[in-house]
Amino acid sequence: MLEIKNLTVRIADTDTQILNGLNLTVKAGEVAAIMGPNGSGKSTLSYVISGKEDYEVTEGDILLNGESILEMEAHERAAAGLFLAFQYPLEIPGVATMTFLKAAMNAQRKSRGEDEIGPADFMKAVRAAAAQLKIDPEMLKRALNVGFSGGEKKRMEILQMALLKPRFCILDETDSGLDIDALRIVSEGVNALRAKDRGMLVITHYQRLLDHIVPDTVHVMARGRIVRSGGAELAHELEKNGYRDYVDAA
Amino acid sequence: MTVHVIETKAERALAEQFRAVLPHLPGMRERRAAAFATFEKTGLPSRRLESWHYTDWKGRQRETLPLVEEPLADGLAIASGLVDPFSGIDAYNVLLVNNDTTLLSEQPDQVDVVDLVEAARTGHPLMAHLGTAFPASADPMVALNEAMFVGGVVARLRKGARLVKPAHASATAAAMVPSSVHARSLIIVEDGVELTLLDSVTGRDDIDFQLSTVVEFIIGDNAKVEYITYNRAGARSQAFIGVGVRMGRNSQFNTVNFAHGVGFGRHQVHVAMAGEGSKLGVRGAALITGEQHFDHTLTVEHIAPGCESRELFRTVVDGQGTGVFQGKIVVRKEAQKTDGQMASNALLLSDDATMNNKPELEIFADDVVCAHGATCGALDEELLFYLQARGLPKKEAEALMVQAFIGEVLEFVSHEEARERLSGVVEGWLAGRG
Repeated sequence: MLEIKNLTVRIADTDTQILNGLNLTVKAGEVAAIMGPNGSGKSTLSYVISGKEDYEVTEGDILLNGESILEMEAHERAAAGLFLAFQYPLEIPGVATMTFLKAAMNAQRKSRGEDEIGPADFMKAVRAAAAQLKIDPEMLKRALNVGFSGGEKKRMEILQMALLKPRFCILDETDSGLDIDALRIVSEGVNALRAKDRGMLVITHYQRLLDHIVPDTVHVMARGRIVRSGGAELAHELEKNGYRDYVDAA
Repeated sequence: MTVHVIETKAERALAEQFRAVLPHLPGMRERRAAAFATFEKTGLPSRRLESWHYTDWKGRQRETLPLVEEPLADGLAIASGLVDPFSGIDAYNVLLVNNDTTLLSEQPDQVDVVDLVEAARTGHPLMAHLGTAFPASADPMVALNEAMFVGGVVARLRKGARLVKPAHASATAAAMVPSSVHARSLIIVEDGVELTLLDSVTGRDDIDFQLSTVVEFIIGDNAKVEYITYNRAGARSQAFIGVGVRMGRNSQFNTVNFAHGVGFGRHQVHVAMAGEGSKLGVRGAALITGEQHFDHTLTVEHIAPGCESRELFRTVVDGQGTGVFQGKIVVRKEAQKTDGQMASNALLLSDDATMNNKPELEIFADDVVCAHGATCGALDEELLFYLQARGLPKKEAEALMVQAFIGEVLEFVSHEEARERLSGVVEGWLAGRG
């Protein structure tokens, strides 16, 4: 589903190289976790896959369902089914959450040549998704993420994920800023979206998220590349021993 | 020091024009002559005048256009081709085309509406209020207006008047040849009366037009006024709009100005909070593109204690346009317990766009809460990426953000239909950016 081949990336207009020939494959239905220390390039990887302009791919390729997405703009990648749940969801003053959700859903539908969603279907879908994530419908009338707590913002990300029904999801440190209850709600929301035709890449520092969202594969990232891969048990090993061995070896 | 202020070709032409038309202007000869003398002390305002530092009216006005002489029928034909976003809203309608005033609907009880031409000619008693909310001494453009005004309305909403819908004044600068218009209105809202007034100014894009309009409000105790203004005077217009307000005790005045498609314009608000416990809201939004220039200037004077004022201005500048915000809050020594908050934010959509922000506080009382803030910047790249990552193409993401930016001012338009119409204008403007 997602194939990353020898991906080499630097920050545009500088010589700072952040990803150094990274290889990773995530199959349909698979939940892959990437763990690694601060500064290993995890967030950069999520931005590069999503199409942020600040980076320059100097080598390698990213394929989604066999097709390269490198030439696509961020909104085209979203329409192709890619979703990034942000580590720090942004506040958009003046844009009601409902307005934003509808704009996003319809923009993607339009890109795919589909009709706009009808108001009744839209409301129904939003209500159902909000209820599952225990989001107060009143919150949806407020400006997106403005004045929301860390946990509310993360739930809002998962709400968007549920509504947009992406084919491939990247969750960038979704556990940061969450208390135990919020972590459970968010994880349940993510688990409900696990499907055999959907891939997920879960980026995290800590193993605790992976107790809730149990991955099929775990990859260790250090200095801009994957240095070790294994099953869910690898996360426990890392929790015990830390990243030190990999940082030194990479 | 001798300063020759009447010095440009346009100013000499104005002086000649004034002397030639004075005998034909409706009434008030001495008053007009005195106002023109006040104007002549300064001439057309230029950068030399601190309150006009960012808007060089004198430099822009190369010549003085003749006073409009369009036959009403032709003016109406031009007006009908222009889009007024408030048209069709259920309201008491007044149509102003150049100097002609037409009342289109019945007047509610306890409301007197008089054609200004008639009121000035006959020395109507209400004319005693003229210049009390925006005196000629306050600004040379107001002095010029007082000397030259022809058309407009005088309205008095007597105590006990109950308006069941808003009033809508639709003014058009309409001529086949380059012309100028000086219009004036005076609105007296007596104790306890509530008024929503929608005021729109539209003009052609293909003809030079000089417009000066001054509207004065005298607001009684416990009265409540919402004044929503729309200005689309035209791409080749030079348009000055002055709004003077004098507020009574526990009164409320909320105004929102929305401007776009104005060649070179200034919207200047002058408020005297003379009655204790009153609440004021002055907000404005301007969309500026091409080589357009738009200036929001306001002076709020807290005279009585315990008053609250809120000001918010949002300016979007594209192309080689220029935006100006000048806001001055003066708190007199007697105006203790004043609460004043002023903010101006500008969004620059191009590298050649310019914004001048100048907020000022002058506080002479010691027990007050006052704050001001001004920002100026481009669209936030991180926010744009967030929206793009959700599937919005860059242009749509930008449009959504601009709409939201302006929307925070439009929120203060409490008349829902008017607010939606203005929101639609923003959408149209954004779509026009391509």
